Amino acid sequence: MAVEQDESAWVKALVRGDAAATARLYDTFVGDVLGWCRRLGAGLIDPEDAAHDVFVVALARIGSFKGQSSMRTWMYGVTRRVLANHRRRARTRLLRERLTRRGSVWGKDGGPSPAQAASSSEQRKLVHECLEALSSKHREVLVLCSLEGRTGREVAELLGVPEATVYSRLHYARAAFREAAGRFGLVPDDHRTGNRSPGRRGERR
Amino acid sequence: MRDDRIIHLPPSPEEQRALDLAREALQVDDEEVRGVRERLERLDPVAVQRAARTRRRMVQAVAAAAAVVAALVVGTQMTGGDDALVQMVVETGPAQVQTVSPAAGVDVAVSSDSRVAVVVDRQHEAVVELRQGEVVVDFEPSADVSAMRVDAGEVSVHVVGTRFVVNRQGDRVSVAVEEGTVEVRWPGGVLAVAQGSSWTTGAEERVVLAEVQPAQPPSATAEDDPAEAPVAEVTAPVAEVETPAEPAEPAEPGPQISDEAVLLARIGINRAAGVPAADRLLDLDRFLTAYPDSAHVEEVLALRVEALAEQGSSEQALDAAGRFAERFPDGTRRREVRWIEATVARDQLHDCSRALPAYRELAAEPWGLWAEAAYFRGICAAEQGLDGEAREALESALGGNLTDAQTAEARRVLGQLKGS
Repeated sequence: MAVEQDESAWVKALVRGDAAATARLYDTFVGDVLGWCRRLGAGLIDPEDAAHDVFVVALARIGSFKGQSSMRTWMYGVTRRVLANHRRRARTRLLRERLTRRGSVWGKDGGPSPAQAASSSEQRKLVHECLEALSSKHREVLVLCSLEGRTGREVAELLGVPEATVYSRLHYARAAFREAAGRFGLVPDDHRTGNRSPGRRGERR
Repeated sequence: MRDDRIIHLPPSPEEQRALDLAREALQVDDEEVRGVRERLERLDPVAVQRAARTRRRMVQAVAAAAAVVAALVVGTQMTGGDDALVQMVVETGPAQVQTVSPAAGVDVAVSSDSRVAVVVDRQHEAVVELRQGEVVVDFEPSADVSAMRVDAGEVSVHVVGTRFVVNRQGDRVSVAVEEGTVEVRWPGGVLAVAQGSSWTTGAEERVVLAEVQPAQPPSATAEDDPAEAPVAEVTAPVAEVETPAEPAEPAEPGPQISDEAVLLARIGINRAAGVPAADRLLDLDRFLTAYPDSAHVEEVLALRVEALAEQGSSEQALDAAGRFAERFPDGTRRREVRWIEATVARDQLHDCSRALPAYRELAAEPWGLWAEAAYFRGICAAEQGLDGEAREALESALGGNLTDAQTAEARRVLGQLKGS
């Protein structure tokens, strides 16, 4: 109850543009938001830019926060939407680059951003490839449970789904991640089970 | 604290190792957190909220959602001014193009290497301050924004309802009007520039008029001396510059923007800004209709193939690629179009038999993507049961520049082929 009252007062202060409340918002969530952007952005986006945008949207929309969930859940929802936009733009860019020699044909809009280039260590690239092999729902659960170590209840609250759904998704997510980790060479390929034709495999770049 | 209930089975050593690697690779360090935290310090929460409220009032629900997202394009910041309802500052880098929509009916595409401030004030006027670079403006008056102008140094372009381009490089400013009419003002005069016309200041602060067809009467100053209008008006110098003795023959005019160049620029900007392929196709077709003999036809035809592919019109894209090849068999865009053709056949139509000839051709040529072409040749050949060709192509591809995933896949497929 005290927590709810505290959050309610906090939100009111945020709506007023109170500097201390804003600083508290940043301090409380900047680590989480940046982590979500890094882990769920799939190497397609600049996580720092995305995190910045998350806070811009959060401040712009704070008036719509009704206290029906925790502030963390609400911030996660904002992050999801911002990431979806960033990923969509990045995918469009990548599609075009792929169609046109990765953007070098017509010159201006090709090539990774400096942030992308900086994040392109081999290991991180491989990890992102593995995570991209998962569906978005499975990726989300694997990141939140297995990489961030959150409890099933926490993740259920963040995602707004029943706890059992989290466990079910995690089961499939782990299997898919194991398979991808072997296939992309993140770990020794002891788990490859697929019997797909070379051509089908080849379609996944 | 981890809840053990979420772990159905303990991870195998390999799975645990993969998870550990993933955790390590994706961790966020304190320095990165501090970097974002410092960026956030520069945000003005009151201005952000005010801008958001204004935006909600000014546009309809769906448009508002889109506009908020547009305002969040990387590099764009919203701040508040005393008289401003909406204020944005946009800076683009060498390879960035951004489109912002500060209000309904106002679309500003900011070209690369540009600096722009956009303000919508309480008098319902939108003002774009072009500090450097280029903007393409599309403006339609509405109840929310009834007037618009672009300020580029001492030159100010007042808009009635139009689409136009303003380019500023230092003191040199060019204005090209594609639709409607604008009124250009500078310290030495005023001029209406109509559709299809362009106007440029010279590097030596001399103003040069090009094919102006004023739709509006000349300014009051021009009416004072009709014999000199509009050229005398246009060539009137700024205070410290001497008026040329022969205004009819201005020396060394600055570069002027043709309609063709305007359309071409818009095609490029819209492409870079991620405008949907269907909309870009309209401009591409307009270009091909209006300028069938242009030196840029090859480029535009290639872009058309790309746009068709991007919107998923696979067969049309292949047809267009075929026509391109017939018309420009040795064109500079030949390989790129062939690459798109192969990608469409393989990725969109899942038809390796149609992709294979293009990959064979592309893998045999000495160009930047020969190795990738060889890789896809190998993959497609394997799918077609052409094991010998697949082996040869994949082995060749491994000697070139492939992505890690392609290298792993090529090795895996080679292993399967050798084992079969």
